[in-house]
Order: sequence, then structure tokens, then C-alpha cells
Amino acid sequence: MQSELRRPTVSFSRVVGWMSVCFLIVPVLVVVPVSFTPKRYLSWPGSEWSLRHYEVLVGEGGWLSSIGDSLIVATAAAVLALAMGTLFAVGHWRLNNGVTRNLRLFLLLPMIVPPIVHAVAFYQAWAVLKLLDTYPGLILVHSMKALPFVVLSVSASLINLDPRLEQASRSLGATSRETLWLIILPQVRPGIIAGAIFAFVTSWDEIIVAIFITSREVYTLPKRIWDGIFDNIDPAIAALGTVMILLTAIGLVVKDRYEKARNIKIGAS
Amino acid sequence: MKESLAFDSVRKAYGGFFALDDVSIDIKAGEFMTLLGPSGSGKTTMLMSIAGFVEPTSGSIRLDGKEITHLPPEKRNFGVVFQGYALFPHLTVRENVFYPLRVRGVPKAEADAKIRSMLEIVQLDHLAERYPKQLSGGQQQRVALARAMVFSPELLLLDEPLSALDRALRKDLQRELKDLHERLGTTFIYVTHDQEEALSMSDRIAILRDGRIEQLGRPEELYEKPASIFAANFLGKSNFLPARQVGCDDRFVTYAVGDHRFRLDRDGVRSLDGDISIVLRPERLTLHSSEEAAPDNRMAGRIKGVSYFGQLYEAIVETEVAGDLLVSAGLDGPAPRAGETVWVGWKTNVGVALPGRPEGADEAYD
Repeated sequence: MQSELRRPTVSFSRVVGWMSVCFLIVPVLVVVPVSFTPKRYLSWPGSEWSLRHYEVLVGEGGWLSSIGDSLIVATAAAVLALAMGTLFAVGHWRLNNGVTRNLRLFLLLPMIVPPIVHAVAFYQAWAVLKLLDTYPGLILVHSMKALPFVVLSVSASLINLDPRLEQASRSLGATSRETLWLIILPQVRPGIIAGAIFAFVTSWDEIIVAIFITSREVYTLPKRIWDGIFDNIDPAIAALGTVMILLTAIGLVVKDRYEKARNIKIGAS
Repeated sequence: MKESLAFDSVRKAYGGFFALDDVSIDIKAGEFMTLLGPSGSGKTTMLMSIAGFVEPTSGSIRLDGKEITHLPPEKRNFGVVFQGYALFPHLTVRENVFYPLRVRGVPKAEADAKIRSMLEIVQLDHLAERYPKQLSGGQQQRVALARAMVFSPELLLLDEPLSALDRALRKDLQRELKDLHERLGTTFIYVTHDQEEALSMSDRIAILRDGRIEQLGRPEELYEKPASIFAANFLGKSNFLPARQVGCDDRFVTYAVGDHRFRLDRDGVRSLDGDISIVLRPERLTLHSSEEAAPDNRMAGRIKGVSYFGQLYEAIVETEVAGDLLVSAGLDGPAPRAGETVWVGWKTNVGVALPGRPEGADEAYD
């Protein structure tokens, strides 16, 4: 259907559109050739190509264990933020009184407070609580930082939810808990998925707090990249970047295919 | 018939405003009860307090004598058909109807049989695997009904279930609902602002106004003997003659509109002092070409305009005594023509005398 609508004209808006796309994507793609350089530092590959920096990623340099650490922390933080944030958003949607409105402002604070303030504050607090350089220590901070994203995205989904669905469910004999699981959560699934992705990425990307409150026991990927750049501008970082870009692209293609398949299924039935 | 649902002095206050103000009513088991009123009259608040979503500020609600005022909705076992249907969009028709059985833990085989027979009753068995958004408005309405009935609720509450549908479909579904009510024998409590719907479907109608029950009775009673100007105005069309009571003997009460006098049967009206209004329904008035042909109660006038409605004519007759009168005329007699001079007549047993005068224009014409 799309190809029928497409007209082969060169318009001003088209040119601007493509220029914007290039502006966004080209700088990112620069890491791809750089990752194939045979040299020991960040450089253009020239005529010779090499996979040595990809070998380093899977080798003994600690990259794999950092990926593992980041996965553990980001997954746990996302799950925690998702559980708390979703429940809060639903509660706020149901009650919407002065208390929940103020609580909501409070929950959104981590987006406003500068990360360095968090970092310093948690450094002090975790030192007292003996949580420095531990998984729970970092997971707690990251889930707190991810919480606003979950609350915002789930709340956005709830805005379009007909409050009568909840009443209908109760009138049909379902308890509040059954209503939450069987009706409300399935309805806000897009918001929950978006919130989960945001939460995961928030933790996956986070470096400032990680630098302050972790050292050797917990060594996340952003921190290792940071250290890598700091020490010797290691092209392994470019290789890692290329892998990330590839994974993201694959993810988008899979999502696209899945949605198309689903639309066809619904349209055909 | 035994009592099914009872309201005893129920009040619901929102701040200083009473959405329900001292409402008492007994609804009999198996009855089709309609709550009729303009928006803001409290009819939906009343329905939602039966369903359990609105907790009364005072008073009590009982089901078969059992107190349910503070029982949460999921414990009440009442079916509710919501305005806009509130079908679960992520579930198919079958899953929507299954939902109340699922949360009750009904075994699969039993549930399947119930779902199948319910979908047959509402004629949706061929659409069981569709999602709500793939259905038309009328079909969605039937799913909502099936879902609210499948667990054999003690009451079925319907909140303006037909208001979103077009007129022809509404007529069909009115008949289907009435059939369903007779077949299942469940008590129906039906909220609407559509007077025609209320008259054609209900066993009894409660007219609500400002959180109070203005009048309660069978459709014929309400239509023939409105208890207030509001009720007369809200249900059907009415002519109001501004009158005074000037005499009373064994058989008749005599009224005057200006200098013009007429009589109504004494056993049909209340004796009233001061400003009163005589309610005359348009279809109870007759048109006559000469004074001799008209009944004793009559008034001279001139036809200002005529509308044709297929099954009847409606003529507006300008009278010197009482202003404009709306008169319905059947198709059997000669067609009324604008500009004609006529006599408007009515029998002594058709008028209702009410205290007061209507305020301004007839606000409640629907």
C-alpha cells in the first residue's frame, strides 16, 4: 500500500528530511570503519582491515564480564523500577488525589536532580550502609533513576484507558487484584514495554553514579568504556559500538516484522 | 411478587449537593423498572449505587431484605451494561463473555456450555472469535448484554445501553431487550433519558428530578395522570391551560381560563386553589368544523400550522382564550389545513389539574 502512495518527486521537505537523517546517523556510523582498524589506537582503517579489536571483546580484556555486569544491573533495575512504577501509576490513575499527585512529583525528581548530586549523595549513604561496590547498591540507585520513565510511560497509556473497564470488571465479579492483572495491565502493555526499555537503557547507559559507587566488584560496561578511553583510546570501544548498533538494528527489524505479521493477522480474521 | 431491591431514604451528597436526596423505592423481582430523567437528575447515581460504585451518604439499600449498602461491587452478583458497553478490547467476544465465569472459577465444560447458549440467545455465536473493535455498535451492545447475563445475575442494570445507536437499530434492540427480559425473568433496572423508550419497555417508570423521585408508576399512569407539571412535560407532549377552579358540584369541577369556562369529571381531579394548570394531551383534543359538533368543553381557534407524521397530523391551533394548542388528529377525518377556523374540543374525563404554572418554555421536550 505504501509503494502506491509514494510519488517520485523531489520536494524541499524531502531534502530536509534526508539531511536530518544523515545528520543523526552518519556520526554514529563513523565507529563502524574505525572498529576495523588494524592499529592499536582509534584511527581510520585505510587499506588494511582487521578483526583484532572484535577478538579483544570476547577475549580476556574483561569486556564480556562487564557486559554481564551491565546486563545483571540493568535487568534487575528495570524489573524493580517496572514493578514500583507501574503500581504507582495505576494507583495514581485510580485515586488521583492530593497525596498521589504530590507523590508523583516526588517520584519524578530523579529526572530533575543532576546526576552528580545523586552520585555524591549515594556515595556517602552507601558508605554508611556498606553498599558501595555491590550489585544491590548499584541496582537500587539505577532503579530509582529509571522510575520516572516507567511512571511517565505507563501513566501515558492509562490516560486513554476507559475507567468503566475497571468498573465493568468489578461488576462482573473480579476483585481489584484480578482486575489489575486481567484487565488494566494488558491494556497498558505498550506503556509497560516502553517503560521497561527506557528503564533498561537508563541503567545500561549510566556512568556517573557507577564511577562513584563501584570499583572492581561491579564493573559495568559504560565504566569500562570510560576507563578504556581514559587510558589509551582503545579501538575495542569502536568494535563494541558497532556490535551495539547492529543489535539495535536487528531489534528494530524484528519488531517491525512482528508488528506487520500481527496487523495482517488481525486484518484477515 | 416478592420484593427484590429496596431503597430506604438513600442520600448521596457531593459537598453540599445532593445527587440523591431521600430516595425510597421498592423494585419487585422480575420487574422492568426504568429510571427516567434529564441529565443531572440522579438516575445514573442511583444505578451506580445499586451496582456498588457509589456509596450512599446515608440510608440503606437492601436485596431481598439483606443489607447491601456497603457491599463492594464484585460481591453483589449484579450484571451491569455500561453506557458505551465497556467491553474488554484485548479479549475476544468469547473471552469477554467468559470473564465473569473465569473469575468465579466455573469449570471449563460448564462455562463453555453457558457461553454458547448465551451467545445463541443474543445471536452472536458466529462472531465469538472477533475482537470488540471488529463489531458494529449493535453487536457490541449484544456482547455487553451476554457478558452481563451469563453468570445469571440477580439484577441486570442497564445504563443508557441504546443511546449510542441509530434510531432504527434502537427500535430493534428495544424489542430484543424486552423479549430477553420476558424470557429470563431477571429484574431489569434501566436508565434512560428517552421517554419513548421508557414508555414502550417498562413495567414501571420512576421519573427523577434533582435527586428525587418525582413520580413512580406504570407507563399508562404516568402518561395519563402526571403528578406534576415537570412529569407532564417530561413524558410526552402536553398543553397547559392556565386556569383557576371556580366551582365544584357532585359530578363536575368547573374551571375558568380568563372568562372561558369548562368542566372536568370530579372523580378524576384534585380540588385545588390558586393558580393551576390543566394538562391536556394533544391526542385527547379533537378538531371540529362547527360549534354544534364539538363536545361541551370547546374553544374556538384558527389553525396556524400543520405537520404530517405519517401516522397522524399535528396541528397548532391559535386560540384567543388559551394561546396556542397542540392537537393531534388521526388520518381518518378530514386533513386539517392551515388557516381554517376550527373548534377544539375535549371530553370531561381527559384533563388533569395540577398546581402551579409551567416555567418558561417547555424545557423537557426531547
